[in-house]
Amino acid sequence: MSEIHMKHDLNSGVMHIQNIRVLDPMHDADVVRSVWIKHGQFIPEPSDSSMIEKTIDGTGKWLMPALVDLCARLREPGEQQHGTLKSEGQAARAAGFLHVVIPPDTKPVLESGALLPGLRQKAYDDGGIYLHIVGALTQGLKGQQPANLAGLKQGKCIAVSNARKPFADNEVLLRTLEYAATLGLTVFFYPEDMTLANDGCVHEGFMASRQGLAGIPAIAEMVALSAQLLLVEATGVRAHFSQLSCAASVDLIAAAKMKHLPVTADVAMHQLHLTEASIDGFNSAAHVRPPLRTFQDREGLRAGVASGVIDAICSHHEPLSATAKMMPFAETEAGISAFDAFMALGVGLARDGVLSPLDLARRITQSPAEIAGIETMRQAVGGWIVVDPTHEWTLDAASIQSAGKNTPFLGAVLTGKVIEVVF
Amino acid sequence: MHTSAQHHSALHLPSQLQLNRAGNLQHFLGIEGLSRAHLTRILDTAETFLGENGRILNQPLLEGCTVMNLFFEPSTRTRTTFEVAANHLSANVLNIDIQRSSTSKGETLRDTLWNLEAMTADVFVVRHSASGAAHFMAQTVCPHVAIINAGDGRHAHPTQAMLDMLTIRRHAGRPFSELTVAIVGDIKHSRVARSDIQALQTLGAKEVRIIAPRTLLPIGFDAFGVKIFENMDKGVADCDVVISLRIQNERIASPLLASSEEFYKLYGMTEARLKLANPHALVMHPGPMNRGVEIASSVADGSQSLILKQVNYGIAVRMAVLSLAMQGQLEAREMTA
Repeated sequence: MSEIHMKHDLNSGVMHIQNIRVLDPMHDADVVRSVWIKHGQFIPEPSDSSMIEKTIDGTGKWLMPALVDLCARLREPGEQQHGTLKSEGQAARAAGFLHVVIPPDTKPVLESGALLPGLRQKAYDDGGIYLHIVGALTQGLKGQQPANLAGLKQGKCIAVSNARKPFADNEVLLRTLEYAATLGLTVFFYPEDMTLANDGCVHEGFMASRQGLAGIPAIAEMVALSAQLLLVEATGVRAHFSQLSCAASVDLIAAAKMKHLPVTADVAMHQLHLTEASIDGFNSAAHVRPPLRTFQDREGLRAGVASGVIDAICSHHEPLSATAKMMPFAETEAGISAFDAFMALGVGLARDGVLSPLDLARRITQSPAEIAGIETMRQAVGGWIVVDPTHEWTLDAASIQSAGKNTPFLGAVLTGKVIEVVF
Repeated sequence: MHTSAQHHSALHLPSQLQLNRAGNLQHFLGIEGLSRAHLTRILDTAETFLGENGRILNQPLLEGCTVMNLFFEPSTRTRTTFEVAANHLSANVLNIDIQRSSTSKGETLRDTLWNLEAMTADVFVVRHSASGAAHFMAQTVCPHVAIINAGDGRHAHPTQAMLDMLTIRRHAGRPFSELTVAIVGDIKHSRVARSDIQALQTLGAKEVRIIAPRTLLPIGFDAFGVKIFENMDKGVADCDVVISLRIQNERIASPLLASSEEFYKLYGMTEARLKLANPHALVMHPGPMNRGVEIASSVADGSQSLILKQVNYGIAVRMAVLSLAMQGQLEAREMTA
């Protein structure tokens, strides 16, 4: 396993990578060539070779832009027993992520624009990443009335959301969307009807029935998503639907896009690989929300990513301390520590023929940046990562950079890894 | 790449956990994964504890062993029969009052169990509201204490299933391969139904039926190899055994059902419906019963009812499971040594 090389020094030299497959969605380019990178940007071959600090052989490797994640919980502020901006920022960086979007359900809730710059600075100083913040859509995420959205916008939050908290009723939802639309803010949804999800903890299906675990039916996602799409149409607010888990949701998003509604969608990487089968034997490492669903759902989500109906793939990284998973299944906290396996799973999508390597790069760099409204900044910051798509390695607790070792892939042999980070 | 499904299933399956390296029971977590030979051994062992006229024979197989009853959910019948069973085996029995113990003070389940284990527990009899609780204890917390699942959430109630099987085996007069057995009522939330279905299938029952309104049928149960009936009259027709399940009061006061009266009208085990079953069909119920909701009093107390026999056999079955699991733990310890 290669050591991750990080560059914070703005005066650093030039990195020369020979014969590497450059996957550049910005220029729709997929070519093998040699590149010279300085300050995270391509430069022409330097006339003075002494400027080249390091040369690596890129044969068989991929070079893609630094990754952009639309949803990760870094656990700070408020839940540092599971992870910190430092631990999770560094884990993100090692996994190739330079830009990470966090939802507002921290403790306290992210509803004050004035606090956001400090948080972003800390993430950069401690974790070496650019933090992007989704602010609270309603006060305290209580679903009663809008948060101070203008203040949040001033604090440069990239969107607003009620995270996974319910709205008091549809009128509150309608009015907060109108208010967000007034301010030109994008709203992130994590669609799930709380009354239909009820006390469920896994997909309502064969595995739930066999193990006697309360299920979250697929209809819980579809009912919420359908209602939210209608309200988006009524209000004209720009909306992003995150972490879809059902094949039928892909159809609903596709229909909305056909109507030219201002909507985008993402899916968590693990949803493209795992199914409800992973909860067999009460495996709490696979306890995640939305739950892992059926093989047909997984195939539908894969098709949605392939067709572009699903614009982006996020990590849905949720690190948890060991004790959070050390309980009977339903009592454990939901979440998968996802940064470390992310690229291997992405490479798996390319290997399975779901996405070309270039489209994979697009779904985890340019598309999420456009959804988050940070594409200009992303290009200005630059940054590239070298991926070895054939590198076989074992994901074990010692190798996981995140503070959270909670992954259903623990112990699995994975293929594909970020081996060099050039930020 | 190995996906986690492939990677984990072998490690986590109850069948791997509850057997020692010689293939004998060391915990009793569920019916799933056990062979017909395992179940038959439990039934045969239980028979050895049964004397004349319902008398239970004493056998000091657990002398010097400590059995702790850990009931995180209230129970009278199951807890009492486990206690009686352990006494007949000469074990030291402790009933830990979980409601008043440290878990209500915020101590984690793990810490509570480790403390009890340190008090030299040999067997934990566990009832818990969370599906998979017994499995969690055997896998993660106390692998060297014999864990007996006395009911975990909606998942499993394997000793109830085994006492049901003993009742059927002793009274049906025919082998399982010739029997059609119907389970009626709240299948969705029932750990008894799940364990009964698995036990009946493992023992080779000719046909297993489940009868319930759609609201009380678990999703995906058609894949369990059972016949599903939403109509009670059709479901009980030609059955050899009918097992009625308790309808919890909380189900009545929910969108799942209209009223107890209507449930009785549609799914109640009445004399008229019993006539649709085979002559001498056996009537069973895991208790406690709601007379006039899932079963008519006249049927519950009638000549075809085995409900009180079930309670009596429950002691013998629990003696069998306690002694076999303890024996499996001792074997495992010797193998490790």
